[in-house]
Amino acid sequence: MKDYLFLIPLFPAIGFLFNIFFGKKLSEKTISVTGVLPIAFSFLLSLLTAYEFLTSGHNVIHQEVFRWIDVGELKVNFGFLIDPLSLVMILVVTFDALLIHIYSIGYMHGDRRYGAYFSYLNLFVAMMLVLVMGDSILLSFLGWEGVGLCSYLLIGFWFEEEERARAGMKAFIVNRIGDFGFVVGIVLILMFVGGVSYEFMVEGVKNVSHSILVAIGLCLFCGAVGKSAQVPLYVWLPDAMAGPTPVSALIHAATMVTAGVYMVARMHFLYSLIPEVLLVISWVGGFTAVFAASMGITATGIKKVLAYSTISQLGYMFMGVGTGIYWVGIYHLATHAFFKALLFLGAGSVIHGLHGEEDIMKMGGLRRYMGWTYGVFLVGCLAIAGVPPFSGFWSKDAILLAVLQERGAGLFAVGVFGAFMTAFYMFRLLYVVFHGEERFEKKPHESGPVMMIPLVILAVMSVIGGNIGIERVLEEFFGGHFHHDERAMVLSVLSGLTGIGLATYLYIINPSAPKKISQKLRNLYTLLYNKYYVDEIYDFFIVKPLVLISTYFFKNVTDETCIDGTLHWTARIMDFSGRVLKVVQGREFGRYAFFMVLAITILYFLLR
Amino acid sequence: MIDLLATIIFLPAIGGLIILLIPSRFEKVYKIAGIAVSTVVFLLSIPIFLQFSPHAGIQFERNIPWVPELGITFHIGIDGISLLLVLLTTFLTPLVVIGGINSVKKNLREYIALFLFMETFLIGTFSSLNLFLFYIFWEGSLIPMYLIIGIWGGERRIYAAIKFFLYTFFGSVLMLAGIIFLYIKHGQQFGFYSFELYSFHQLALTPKEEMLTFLAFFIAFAIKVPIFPFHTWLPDAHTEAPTGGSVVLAALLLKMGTYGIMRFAVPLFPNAFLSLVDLIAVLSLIGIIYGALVAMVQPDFKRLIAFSSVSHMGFVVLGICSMNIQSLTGATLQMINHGLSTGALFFLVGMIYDRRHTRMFSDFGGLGKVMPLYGGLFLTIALSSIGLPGTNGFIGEFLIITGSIKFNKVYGILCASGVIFAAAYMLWAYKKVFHGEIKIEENKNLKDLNPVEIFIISCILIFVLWIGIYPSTFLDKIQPSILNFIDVFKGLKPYGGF
Amino acid sequence: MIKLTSEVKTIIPLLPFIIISISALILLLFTRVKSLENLSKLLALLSGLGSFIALFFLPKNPMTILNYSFIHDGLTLSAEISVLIAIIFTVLTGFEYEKRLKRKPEYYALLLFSSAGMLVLAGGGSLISIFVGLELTSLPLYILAGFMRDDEASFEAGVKYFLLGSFASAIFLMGIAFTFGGTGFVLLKDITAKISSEGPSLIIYAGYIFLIGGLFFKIAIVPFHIWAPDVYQGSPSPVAGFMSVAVKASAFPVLIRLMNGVFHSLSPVWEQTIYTFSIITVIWGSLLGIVQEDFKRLLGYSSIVHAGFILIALLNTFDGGKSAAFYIIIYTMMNIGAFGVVTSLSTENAERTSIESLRGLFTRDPFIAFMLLIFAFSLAGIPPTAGFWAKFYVFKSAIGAGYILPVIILLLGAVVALYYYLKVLIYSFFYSPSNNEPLEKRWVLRLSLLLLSIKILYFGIYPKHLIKFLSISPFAILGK
Repeated sequence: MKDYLFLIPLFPAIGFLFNIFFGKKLSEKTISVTGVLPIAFSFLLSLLTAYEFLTSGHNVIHQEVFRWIDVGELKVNFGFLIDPLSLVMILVVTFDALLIHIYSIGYMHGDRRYGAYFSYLNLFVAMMLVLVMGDSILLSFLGWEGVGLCSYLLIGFWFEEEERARAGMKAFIVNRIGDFGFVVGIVLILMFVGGVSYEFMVEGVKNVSHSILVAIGLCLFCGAVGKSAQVPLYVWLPDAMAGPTPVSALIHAATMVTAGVYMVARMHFLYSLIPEVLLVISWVGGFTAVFAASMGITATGIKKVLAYSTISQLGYMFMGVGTGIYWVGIYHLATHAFFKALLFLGAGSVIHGLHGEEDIMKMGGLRRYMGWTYGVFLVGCLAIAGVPPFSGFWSKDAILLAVLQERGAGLFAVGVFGAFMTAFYMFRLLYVVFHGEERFEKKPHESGPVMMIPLVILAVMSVIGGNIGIERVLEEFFGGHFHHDERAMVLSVLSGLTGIGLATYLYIINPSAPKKISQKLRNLYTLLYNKYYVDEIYDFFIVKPLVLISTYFFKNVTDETCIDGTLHWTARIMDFSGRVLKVVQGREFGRYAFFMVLAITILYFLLR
Repeated sequence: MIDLLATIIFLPAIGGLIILLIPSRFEKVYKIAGIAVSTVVFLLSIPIFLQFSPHAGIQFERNIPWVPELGITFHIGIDGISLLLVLLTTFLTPLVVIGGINSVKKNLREYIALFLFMETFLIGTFSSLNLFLFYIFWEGSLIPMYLIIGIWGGERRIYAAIKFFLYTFFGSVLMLAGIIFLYIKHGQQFGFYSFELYSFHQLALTPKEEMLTFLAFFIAFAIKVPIFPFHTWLPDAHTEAPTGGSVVLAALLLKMGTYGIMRFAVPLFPNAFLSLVDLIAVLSLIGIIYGALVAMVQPDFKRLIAFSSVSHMGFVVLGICSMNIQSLTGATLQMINHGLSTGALFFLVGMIYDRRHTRMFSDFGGLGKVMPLYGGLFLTIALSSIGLPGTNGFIGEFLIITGSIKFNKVYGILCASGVIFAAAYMLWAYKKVFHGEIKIEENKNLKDLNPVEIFIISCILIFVLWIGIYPSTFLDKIQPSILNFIDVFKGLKPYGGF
Repeated sequence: MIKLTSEVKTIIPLLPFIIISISALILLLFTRVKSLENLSKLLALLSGLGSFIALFFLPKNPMTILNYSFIHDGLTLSAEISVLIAIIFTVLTGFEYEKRLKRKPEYYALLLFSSAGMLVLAGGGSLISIFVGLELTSLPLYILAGFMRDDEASFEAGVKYFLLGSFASAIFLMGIAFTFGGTGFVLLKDITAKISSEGPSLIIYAGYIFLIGGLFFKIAIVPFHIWAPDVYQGSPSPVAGFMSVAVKASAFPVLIRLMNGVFHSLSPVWEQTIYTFSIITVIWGSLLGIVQEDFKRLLGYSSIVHAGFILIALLNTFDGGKSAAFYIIIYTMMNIGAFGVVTSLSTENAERTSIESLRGLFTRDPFIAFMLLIFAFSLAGIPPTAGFWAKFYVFKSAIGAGYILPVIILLLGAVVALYYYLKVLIYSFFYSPSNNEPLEKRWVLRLSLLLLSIKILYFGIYPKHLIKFLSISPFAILGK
C-alpha cells in the first residue's frame, strides 16, 4: 500500500512543471484544468491513504524513494512517512488546497500571469506535502524552504507594484533569520543524536545530555517562530497580505504558517524531554495571541485584520503544543484551517465584489448585495469567536483547558482575554463590512458559483469540523489528557460572547462610540494603529546600521582605503623612487665616472 | 587506447593554435572550429567521469619523463577532488565559447583561441602531480586571462588587468621559491632531485622550514581564492572582464586556489597548517560575512556577484579548515556549485549587459515584465547561489556548515549566519532589477533571451538541480578521496567527525 | 708536414674566430667596390652561419691552447653559441633596416670584428688575451654605436660609450697590473695556483676589485651600468640588440672564471660581492625601468636587471656556470627578438622607439604584436616560455648554494620588473591605435622574429636539448 505515497507530492510537482513551461501558451480554461487536477488527485490519494491507514492496523507507513545525501555519518533518505499527525496534515492541506485552487479559477480570472499563478500554487502544495510527509527533519526542511520560496513568489506575484515586491522579499528574509536557527538545530541533532530521520531520533534523543537538547529545542523553535510568525519575527505576515487573497488563505492562514506548530508537534519526543522550552513556547504563544489581537482591533484593511487574527490564532496553537498535550494544538490547527480559510476567501469575495477595495472604511452594508458571502463570513466569525457548537469552540476550548491544567491560571487568563479580543475585532470587522451605511463608490456584486461553492463547503466544515474525529485520532497518537473543567469552559465561552456583545454595542447600537473612545485613548490608539512601531524599530536598529557599516566602514574604509590604498601607495613609492634614482644618476658623463670610482673605492674598503 | 586525460589537456591548446592560423575572414570556419574543439573535449571528458572508480585513488595517471636531468616529469592524474573540477572546466568552456560567439564582436577569433588555451592551462593545473608541471600550468593561466581582461574588458580594464596579474604573480613567485626549496631539500635528503608530489610527501622539514614553505604556498593560493584580506583584485577583475572572462575567473580560476590548498598546501605541510588553522578559519569567516555585507551595498551588478564570490569561497576555505568528512566533501562540492551558480550569474548579467551596456542597478527595474523568462531563470540561479534546498547550493553549504559546527561551534554558527545575508543581497538585487514599474524608456522594449542564451543557462540549470536533488552521483565520486585525504591527519590532531 | 698538421689541430678551437675575422677582412675589401656593397650582408650572414656550424666540429673535451692563453670548454662554447646566434640574428633583423645605413660594408665588418673579439674574450685564458679580446670587442662597438653620424642621439651615444668604455678598460688594465704585480703571472691558471697557495694580499684584493669593476661595466652591473640605456637608445636598434646580449655573453665566462676560479679561495669576498651587487642591480634596474618612456631605454634597464639575475647564479660554484650559460643563451634569443620588434617599428627615415609608438600594435599588426607578447613574457620569465626556465635555473643554483633570502628579494624585484613588461603589452594590446598606419612588411625580419619566438616557445615547453647540451659539454673551470 505504501508504494504510492510519493505520488501525493509528485502530482502537484508535475502540475508545476507543466504549467510553468506551457502556462504562457495555453488558454485559461486548460490551465484551470491542469492546475486543479493534480491537487484533486493528491487529495483523493490522501483520502485513500487515510482509509487504508485507519483500516489497516499500522501506526506508521514509511516509504523510502532514494538516497539523498550520504556523507560520513550524515545519511539522509528521500523518504515519506505517514502517521496520524502527518495524515491529518495532508488531509487538511490537500482539502484546503483543492478548494482554494477551484476558488482561484474565479478569483484570478483574466490575470496576465494566470499560468504562472497556478504553477506557483501547485509547487506550494507539493512542497507543503514534502514538509509534512518528509521522514527526516532535513527533508522537511527542504519542504520548509520550498514553501517559503512559493510564499515569496506569490506575495510578490504582482511585482509591478514596488510595495508588494518588497513584502515578498521581507517575508523571505525574515524567514531566513528563523531558518538560520533551524539549520543550526538540525546540525546539532546530527552531531549529538547522530541521525536526522524521525524514526531514528525517537530513540536517539534519549541518550543526549539535557543541555544539548535544550539548545536543539530552542534552535528549532527559532525556526518555528519565523515560519509561524510569532513575536518577534511576526512582522512579515501582515505585509504578506500583498499577495492575491486565495494565496493568503492557503499559505498565510491555513497551511504554511502552521508549519512551525506542526514541527513542534512532530518533534514532540524531543520537547517532552525539555519542559522548560515548552514553557517558553507556550508563553511566547500566549503573548503573541494577545499582542497580535490588540493590533487587530485598530487595523482597517480587511485582510490585515485577518492577518493579525491569524498571528494570534497561531499563538493559541503554540500555547496548545506548549502545554505538552500536543494534540490540542494540532486540533486547533485543523479547525483553524477551515474557518480561517473560509474567512479569507470570504474577504476575497468581498474584495472581488468591490473591484479590489480592501479598506473596510470604504465598505459597509454589504449584506444586502452579497448575502451568501455574508452568511459564510458570519459562520467563520462565530467559529473563530469560539461560540459553541462551531468547530473553533471545541479546539480553542481544548487548548484553554490544557493550558489551565499544565500552565495554571496566569496563561489561562491571557488565553481567555485573547479570546475576548478575538471575538470583538472579528465582529467589529463583520459589522463594519456588512452592516452600517454604505461607504463604497462602485456598486458591489456577489461572486459567482465557482467561488461560492468552496466557500459553502468550508462553511460546513467550520461548523462540523470540530467533531469529525480528528481529535480522537490525534489524542491516541500523542496521548496526554486533561480533565474537563466546566467552569473554565463557561468562562471561555462567556469571554467570546462578551466580545461579540461589546462589538455589537459599539458598531450597531451606538455607532458614534468608537470615534469618541479613540479620541479619549488617543495615545493608545495611535500606538496600536502604528503596530507598536515595531517595523520602524527594526529598520532603525538593525537594517540601517548594517547598511551604513557595510557602505562606509567595510566598502570605503577597509576595502578601498586600507587594502587598495596600501597597494596604490606601494606602486606610487616604487614610481617615486624610480624618478628619484633617475635624477640621482643623471645623464652626464662626469657623474657616471664618479659613480664607478666611488663604487670601486667603497668596495675596496669593504673587502679589505 | 588513447590517453583521455592527456588528450583533453592538449587538444584545446592545439585547437586554439589552429584557430589562430585561420584567416580572420573565414568567420564561420573558426566559429565552428571553436565550438567543435571545446565540445569534443567535453565529450571526451564524460568517459573519464564514467570510468572513474571512486576507491581507486589517483587514476588516469600518466608519468612521462620530460626533463629527467631535473626530475621534472609530465606526471598527471586525477582523484575525486580534481575529477569534478576537470569536468567543470570542460563543461563550461564550450558554453563560454558559444556565449562569446553570441555576443563578442571584436577579435572574436583571438577570443575563442585564448579561452581554449585557458582550458588547457586549467585542466593541467587540476591534474598535474608534479609541482614543476603544476607551476607551469598555474602561471601560464595568467597570460590568457590578462589578455582577455585587457582586450575585451570594460572602461577600467587596464587597471583591473594589471592588478590581477601583479597580485597573483606576487603570490606565485613566493610559491616558486617554496617549490625550488623543497626540490633542493629533496636532493639533499634523498640524493636525487625530484619535483614529484609524492616524493615531497616524504620530506622531513624542520618546523621553521615547514612553516615558511607553507606560508609561501598558502599566500599564493590565498590570493587566488581569494581569502580576506587578499581579495581586492577580484571585484575589479570580475567587473571589468568580459562575460566569458568573468565566468572563467569566478567558476574556474578561483578554484585553482582552493584546489591548491587541498592538494598541495595542506597535505605537504600538515603541521604548519594545523598550527595556523584557526587563523585561516577566522579569515575565511571574515570573508563570508564581510563579502556578503559589502555585496549588499554595491551599485554595480557584477561587483555584487564578485563580492558574493568572496563570501562563497569563504565557505569553501572554512570547509577545508574544518577537516572532517562532511566539511571537506562539502568544500569540494561547493567548488563545483559556486562554479555553476556564479558562472551562470555572470552569463546572465552579461546577457543584460549586451542589451543595455550598463550594469548599474539604477538603470534597471521592472524587467520581470518585459523579460519573464530571463527573470525566471535568473531567480532560479540566484536561489541556488543562496543555497535553497533542492538546488546544488544547499547540499554544499549544509555539508560545510555541518562540518564546521563539528569543528568549532562558534565558527559553524557564524558561517551559518552567512546564509541570511546571502538571501538579503541576492533578493535585494533581484528586486531592484526585475520588480517594480519600468522607469527607463530603453527597458520598455527589451528582447527576452534568444535560443542560444536559453541553451547556455539551461545546460547549467540541469546540473544545478541534479546536484540539488540527487547529489549522490557526485558525492560518491568525491568521498573516498576525501577519506584518504583525511588520513594524512589521523596521527596529528584529530578533529571531530573522523 | 706532420708537425704542421698538429699545429693546425691545436688551433681548431679557434675555428669560429678565424672564419669570422677572415670574412671581416674580406668585407673591408668590399668597401672599395660599390657593386659588392649589397653582398656584404650576405657574406656577414654566411660567415656567422659558417662559424656556427663550425662549432659542431670543435673538440668535445675541454682543452687549453696557445700555451694556456685560450681555454676551450663548455663555458666558452656556450658563450660562442650566444655570440654567433646574436650576430646571425642581428644581421637578419637588420636585413631591411640597413637601407638606412650608409657605408654598409663597414657596418658589417665592424660587427664581425667585434664578435671576433668576443670569441677571443670568451675563451681568454690569460689576462693578456682577455684584455685583447675586450678591446677588440669594444672598439668596433664604439663606432657602431655612433654609426649614424648625422643622427644627434646616435652620435652622443657613440661618444659616451667610447669615453666610458675606455675609462672602464683603464680600470680593467689596472686590475691586470695589480694582479700581475701581486702574483707575477698573467696566465689564469698560475694566478689561481699562486693565490690558493699563498693566500690573498692587499694588492691582490685591489687587482680583484679592478678586474671585476671592468667586467661589471661590460655586463652593465649597477653602478657600472649607466651607459647602457643611453647607448642602447642612441645606437641603431640592431646594434643595440647585439650589444645588449653579445657583450654580456662574452664577458660572463671571464667573470665566472675569475670569481669561481681564480679568486675561488677568497670565496667569502666574492660571494658577498655577488649577492650585494645582484640585489642592488635588480632593484635599481627594475625601479628605473618603471619610469621609462622610451622602449629602448626600457629594454636597456631590463637587460641590466637580467645581468643581475645571471650574477646570482655565480654563488653556486658547482653548477652556477651552467645556469648562467643557459640563462645567457635564452636571454640572447629573447632580447634580440625584443630589439627586433623595435627595429620593425622604425620607418624608412626615422627610428620609432617611444613606448607610445607601440600604441594599438595589436590592431595595426597582429603578428608583430604576438611576437612582442612572447618576447615580453619570456623576458618577464612567465611559463611556458624559455625565459621561465632561465630564471628557474639561476634561482635553483642560488638556493642550492643556500642563499634563500637573496633569491626571494630578487623574485620580488622580478614582480616590480614585470610591471614594465606589462606596460609595454598594455600599449600594444589594450590601447586602440592613435594612427592606423600599418608597419612596413619586412619579410626577413618577420621570419627571423618568428624563428626566435618558435625557439623560445620550443625551449620553453621542451628545454631538454639545451639542457642536455649543457650537461654533456664539459665545464672545466680552471684548475678543477
